[in-house]
Amino acid sequence: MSKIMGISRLRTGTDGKGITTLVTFYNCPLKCKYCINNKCHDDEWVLTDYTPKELLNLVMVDDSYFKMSGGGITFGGGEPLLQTEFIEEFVRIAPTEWNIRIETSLNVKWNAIEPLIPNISQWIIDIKDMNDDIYKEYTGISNASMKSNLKKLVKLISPERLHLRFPNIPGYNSSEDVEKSLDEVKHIDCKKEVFDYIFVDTDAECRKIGWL
Amino acid sequence: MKIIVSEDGHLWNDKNPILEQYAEDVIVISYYMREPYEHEKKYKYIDVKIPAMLGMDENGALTSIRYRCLNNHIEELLEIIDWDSEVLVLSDNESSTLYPYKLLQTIDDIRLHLWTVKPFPFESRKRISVYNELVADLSNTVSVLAMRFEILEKHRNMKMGQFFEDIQKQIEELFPQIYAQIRCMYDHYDRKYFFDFNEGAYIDTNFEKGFIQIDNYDGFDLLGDIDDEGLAVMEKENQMFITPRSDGKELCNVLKKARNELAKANGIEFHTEEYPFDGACGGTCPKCDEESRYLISELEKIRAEDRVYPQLEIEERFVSGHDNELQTEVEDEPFRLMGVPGPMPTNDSKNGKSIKIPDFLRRDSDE
Repeated sequence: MSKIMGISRLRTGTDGKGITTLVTFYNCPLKCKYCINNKCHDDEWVLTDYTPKELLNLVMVDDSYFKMSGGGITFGGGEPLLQTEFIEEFVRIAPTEWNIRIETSLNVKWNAIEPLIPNISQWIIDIKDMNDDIYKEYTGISNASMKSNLKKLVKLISPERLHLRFPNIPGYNSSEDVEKSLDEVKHIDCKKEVFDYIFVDTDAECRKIGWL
Repeated sequence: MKIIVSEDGHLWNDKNPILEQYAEDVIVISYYMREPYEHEKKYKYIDVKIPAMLGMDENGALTSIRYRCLNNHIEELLEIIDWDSEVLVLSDNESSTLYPYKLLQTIDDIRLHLWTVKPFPFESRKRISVYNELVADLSNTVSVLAMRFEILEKHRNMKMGQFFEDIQKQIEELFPQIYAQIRCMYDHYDRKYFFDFNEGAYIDTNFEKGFIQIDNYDGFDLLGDIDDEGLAVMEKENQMFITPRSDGKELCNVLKKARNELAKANGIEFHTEEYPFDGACGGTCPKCDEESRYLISELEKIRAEDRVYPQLEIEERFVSGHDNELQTEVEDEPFRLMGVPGPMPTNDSKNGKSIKIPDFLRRDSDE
């Protein structure tokens, strides 16, 4: 059983091809400064555990759309690879036509990754930054495990199953840093995405409502 | 919708200028039995007669004298509420401001909405205890907005009056949104909502009893009427939510046509119906899901190798500010009823249409 943080249906093209349902788990080894799902560290209040079968029953309602569009289930979080056993069992009982994807930091033990390799259609990896100092400052931990896991994973799956994401993180990395990160993985012939964080001037927002 | 305040509220009382805009719907509970001031003449007053007594009304919860006296005015209150089934009770850290809410909880025909404010941490244990006792039962309530006064660094040298002025500015901006969002709830009779300050919107909890704490306020327990170590349990089948989106209706139309094509391709007798939903759409609804489940069950009667799934093309997008947005931009619709917090969906409409409609779906809607 696992504690599930959210189940977001009918996502179109944002978490993999086709129509997808994003299932997010609690807990993550990273403590990213700008984490959009900071709630993932707070599972103390959550009482509801799901079995893989219960989750399957819930998401089955979109089975036809998944099959028509090449979509399926994307597991995220938090860090979904802290729930490897759950995902393994889910993949075992889910329709084989569904694409099962993982959105992950890949910063976990290898034995959490290896069992899922045959069954995951796509690995969407949030690299953050290949520079360990920058990575550590932003997330609180080293990227050594992530890099080691990436090296192993690349040898075991075809490149079209890999999607690497490189954020421009205000205050943490520069465009030059992102270029260096891309350079480090240039030998991996897979999808690579560079994207910007949307940054809001919170001081200006506070002034608008009279808080500053 | 009727709005009820109590005269002795700290934040919500009859002097709050926010209420002037809604004057004809405001009901004020007064315990002071005096001639009305000029500003009071625009609201409706319930003058609660309290017997003269010596000493303080020690018990601030439902056995208090004030509550029992207010109970004597229930008929009068219902008469003023009249045919309005929606009632918003604005209360704050003054416990007696919750009395109208507790009274109306006993009336089945009223759809109650509550705005409440947690006592300051430095208030007396008695006051905090009474308050907690009053909010322990949130049954028969459609929506709850629970806030606490955040004391920031800049407040530390302020006098209490200045502090409340600061709070006032904040709620002046918030209240019209709350009012509008509650109006969106009118047609959803089987749902309950809790206001999430992180999202800036009501969360559709969509379960039958109790509430779950889903905002980040430390230690604010709303017990609901399921008692499980002080926390309400959300029914599992209701945890999955659709988030309203600006292209929701477009997506709905695409999926409806896809269902029709799926049925046609597999020789399944099928007639889709229009669901008259007015508001922010998430691309599906109970009616659409019912149709989807029907098709799935019909397809199970066909051998797997004989089933046909027409192609539905959805483009994958590299969308900036994906799952690490510091804050999402304000979406087009001003009223958002959102699901359980999860990664915020990107506003697909900002990047043009993300749904490519294949030829077999490019038909006139009346075909």
